Amino acid sequence: MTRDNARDDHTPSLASTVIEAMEAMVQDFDFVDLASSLVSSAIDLLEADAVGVMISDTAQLLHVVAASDEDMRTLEVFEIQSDEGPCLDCWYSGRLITSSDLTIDDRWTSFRHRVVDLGFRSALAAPLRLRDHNIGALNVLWRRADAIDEREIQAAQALADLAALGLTSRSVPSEATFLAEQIQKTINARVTIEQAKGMLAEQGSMDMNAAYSLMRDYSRASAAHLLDTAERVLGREITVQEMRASLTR
Amino acid sequence: METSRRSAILQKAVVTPGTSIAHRLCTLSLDFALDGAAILLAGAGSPSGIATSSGSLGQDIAELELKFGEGPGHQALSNRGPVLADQLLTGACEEWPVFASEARERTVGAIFAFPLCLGSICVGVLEVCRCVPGKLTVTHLTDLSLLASLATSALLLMQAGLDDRDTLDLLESGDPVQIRVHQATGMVAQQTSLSLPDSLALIRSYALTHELSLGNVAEQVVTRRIRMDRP
Repeated sequence: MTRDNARDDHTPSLASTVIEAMEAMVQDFDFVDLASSLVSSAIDLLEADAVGVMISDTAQLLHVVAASDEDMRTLEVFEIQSDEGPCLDCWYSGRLITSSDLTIDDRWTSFRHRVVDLGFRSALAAPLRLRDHNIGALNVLWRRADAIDEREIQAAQALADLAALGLTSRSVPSEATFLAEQIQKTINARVTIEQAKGMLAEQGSMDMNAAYSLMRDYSRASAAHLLDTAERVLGREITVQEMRASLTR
Repeated sequence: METSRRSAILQKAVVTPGTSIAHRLCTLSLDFALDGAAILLAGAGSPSGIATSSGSLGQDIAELELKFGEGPGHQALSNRGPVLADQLLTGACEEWPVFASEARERTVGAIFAFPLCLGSICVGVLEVCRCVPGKLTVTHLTDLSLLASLATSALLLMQAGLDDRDTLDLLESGDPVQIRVHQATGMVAQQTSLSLPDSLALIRSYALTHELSLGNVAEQVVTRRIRMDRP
């Protein structure tokens, strides 16, 4: 049995991920929601251990807008790449960047130490391409060395293109202005989600991952955008107990 | 690159005359081929007062926002994203028709508003305009965004009770607001029942009192080594 067949039984195919994303884009669409579902698809499709979507703001700084793992340490691995790392290189150059063994790679000293400490060995960054410029990168990390083959490269770039499309799906092609507005809004939305994670984590005595999952599951179950749920949490309009209760009903 | 640009803007702000950091940043924004700039304060999610203004049109656009309760500043705060209206003379401006027509009468051709927000903490909006319509250059857009982010930090620090000198020192030290700071802000808001801006101010003042970085205190909050509801 080929590797792909073995995978088909358990995990979504690239095609079904694309179809799902496209369906989302023609409905009441929100980029934060798309990005967070893309990172979960990326984990499955690429058999990866951590995935993050980063976009650059109008001040040319990279920000994490979605991550497969919501604990502080993993998020910070993505966050520190506003200074150095495969994501930053990828975004600057517009090229896909890979490292098959971070333990012997001599690029990005500080980034490399942090990720190797957390147990990651391979890394890939695929550019979020948009006509003549790049708006960010999709970052993939694996715990094993040599995790990257042609198949991973193609799938990662396809997912990155999908993310870039999603970010611009509401804009008229020539309207760079709209894109700048959209990007800044998305980055700010992510900060709101972090603040809400903190509030829920404290309220429900749980970790950041659990706080995020609760918000995500609650949003899905009530067909709400993640950002709207986060704002209701911060506005103290909904509590952990109420969110949990509505999920077990 | 961005870090050096940020400090370049800050250095310029220091030598720009003004009564406060906010005023200096506001005046400095006129360097980007603009005819007016204002910083409005946010109350309950929309512009509620004028912090400062510069240039011939700065006070005018700020007053229009408050008088009519609409405008790019209102829109930027409700979107929590910038509003870049580069064609005021020909564009529809559906969201704020009254503001647009009043602004046109005052010869405003393009207007840009940058919300001063950190997630759901919104302290104000930086609004700039010029008579000649047209897009901002990429460089000006970048610099104005950096300026808006500096103004956000400055207003937050001043709300936390810091004076001009200390605010400037902290801005110069860079002290980046990281993901863990946002998480810690939410946690402290839950512990204390304070608002988010007040919770951030509390973390900030704890850091200053204990001579720690903002990031360090935030990490201790997130990893539950310190709480803010007990002295």
